[in-house]
Amino acid sequence: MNANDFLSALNDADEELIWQAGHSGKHAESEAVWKRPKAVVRALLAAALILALSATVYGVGELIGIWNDRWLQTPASDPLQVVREAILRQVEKDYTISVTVEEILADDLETQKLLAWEPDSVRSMLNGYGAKPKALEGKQPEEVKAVYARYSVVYDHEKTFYRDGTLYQYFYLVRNADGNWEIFEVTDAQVLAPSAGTENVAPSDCEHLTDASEEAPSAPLRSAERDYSAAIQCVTEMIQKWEAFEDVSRVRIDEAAFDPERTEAALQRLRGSTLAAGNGWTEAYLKTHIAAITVTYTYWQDSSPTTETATYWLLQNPVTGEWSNSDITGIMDSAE
Amino acid sequence: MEDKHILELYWERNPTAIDQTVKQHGKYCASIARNILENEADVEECVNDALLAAWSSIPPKRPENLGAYLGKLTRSKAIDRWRALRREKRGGSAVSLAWEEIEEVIPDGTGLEDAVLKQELVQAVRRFLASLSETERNVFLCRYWYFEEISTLCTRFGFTRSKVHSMLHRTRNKLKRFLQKEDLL
Repeated sequence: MNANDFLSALNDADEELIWQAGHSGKHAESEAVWKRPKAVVRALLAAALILALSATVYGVGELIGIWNDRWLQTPASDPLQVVREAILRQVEKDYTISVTVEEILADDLETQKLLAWEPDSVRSMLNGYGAKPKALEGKQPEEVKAVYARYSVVYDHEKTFYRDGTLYQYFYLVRNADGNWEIFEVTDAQVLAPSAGTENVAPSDCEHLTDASEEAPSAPLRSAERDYSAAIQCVTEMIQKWEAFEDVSRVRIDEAAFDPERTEAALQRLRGSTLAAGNGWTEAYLKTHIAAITVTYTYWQDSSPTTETATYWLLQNPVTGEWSNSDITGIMDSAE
Repeated sequence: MEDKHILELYWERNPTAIDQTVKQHGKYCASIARNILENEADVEECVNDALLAAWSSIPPKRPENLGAYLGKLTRSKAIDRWRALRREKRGGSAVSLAWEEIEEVIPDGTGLEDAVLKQELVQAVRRFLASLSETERNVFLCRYWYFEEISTLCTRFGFTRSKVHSMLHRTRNKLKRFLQKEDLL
C-alpha cells in the first residue's frame, strides 16, 4: 500500500462526514448569516423612521432629491481630474459643509479586476460575479479605469444622514464617445475615520472648497489614530469559540491588544508581494485595512490549563467593515 | 432550489439540472478543485468534468447528499488532473505537501491492485475516521480530503499554525498505528 491508495480510499469516506468537515469551524459565519436578517430589519426600521421624520421636517420633495442624488461630473481627458472635480463638487449640494481631497490614485489592479468581469461564463458563476455593468460592454482595456480616492467631508446632519469624516471610495470610469473619461459607477464610501464633534457645525478655519492634494503629500492614517476594537473582538470571539470543541472545557482571554510593530512588519512584507498583487490588495488598501492583534489566552483540556500567546493578522473588508484573518495569518505566522 | 428538486431534474434528464447544480454547489466544487489545481482554467475544466460525470451517473444514482457527491466527483477529477500535471512538474502545492505528509506514515510500497484489498482499505479508513474526535476528524479531512492549506485551516478553526501542525501530526501517527493494527501496513 502507498499514500496514493490511502488518499484514494479517503475519497470514499462517509459523505456526511465530508460535508460536515467542509462546513466545519465556521460558527461565526453561520451566526452572521442568521443575525443578518435581524440587522437588516433593524436598519430598514431605522431608515423608515428617519424618512418619516425627515419628510415631516423637509417635505417629500426634498427627500426625492436625496434619493436621486448623483455625482456631479464633467467628462474630461484626465480621469483623475474627473474624479477630483466630482468629489469637490459635492460642496454644491446643500447638505455638504466642506470637502477636501486627500489622495487620488489610478489603481491598475482594480482596473484589471474590472476588465475581468465575465458575467456569462461558468467561471464567473463559480466566483459569484454579478451582472456586468452596461457601461463596460464593448470597451477595450485602455478605455476603462478604476480610481481610488480618499477625501474628508463634513455634512450638515440636519439635512442628510450620510456618514462623514475621512472616507475612501473607488470610482469606475470609461471613455465616452468623445474620448473623454466619465464616471459610470462608484463603490459605497467607506469611513476610514469618522468626524468627531463636527456634526452640524461649519468649521471656522475650514475652506468650503479645498484641494489639499497639491500642498500636502499623501498622509496615510497612522495606526494609533484608528480604533481596532472590532479587530480585537474578532480575534477574542474566534478563540472563545474553541469552547465548542469537545476536547476543550474552557477558554479564557488574558490579554488582547493591537500590535503596531507586527502590523507594520506585515505591511512591509506584503508591500509589492505577489500575494498582495494576486489578491488585489493595493498599497492604499493595506495601509488602512491590516491589523496584527496579539492575544494571550488560557484553555483547559482535561482540566489541564495551557497558556499561549499568539498573533493573529487580520484584514478588514472595505465594503462590510468586517475583520477576518482569512488568507493572511498563516502566511505571516510562517514568516515570523 | 433544494437538492431534491435538482435531483428530480436530473432524473427527468432536464439540462436545467446543470445550471441549478452550478448555482447551488458550483462554488463548493470550485473551492475543492482550487485546493488541488493552481490554474483557474484547470479548475473550470475539472468542475465541468465533474458536472458531466454527475449528469452521466444520475440516474441511476440518487445521492443522499448531492453536494458531498459532487464534491467527491470534483476531488477525484482534480486529483486525476493533478497527477497528469505532476508528471510534468512536481511543485510545492498544498496537495503535494499533503501527499508528502501521508507518505511520512505510509511508506511508498506497491500499490494495491486487488479490488478486495482496496475495499478493505476503504472500510478501514471509515473506521479510523469514526474513531477520531469531531475536531480531529474535521481538521484531518480538511487537510487530506479537501487539501486545504495550513493557513486556511488556521482561519477555519481559529487555531494557530503550531496547533494545526501538532494536531495533524498526532492524527497521522494515530493513522499509522491504526493501519498497523489492521495489518494494512
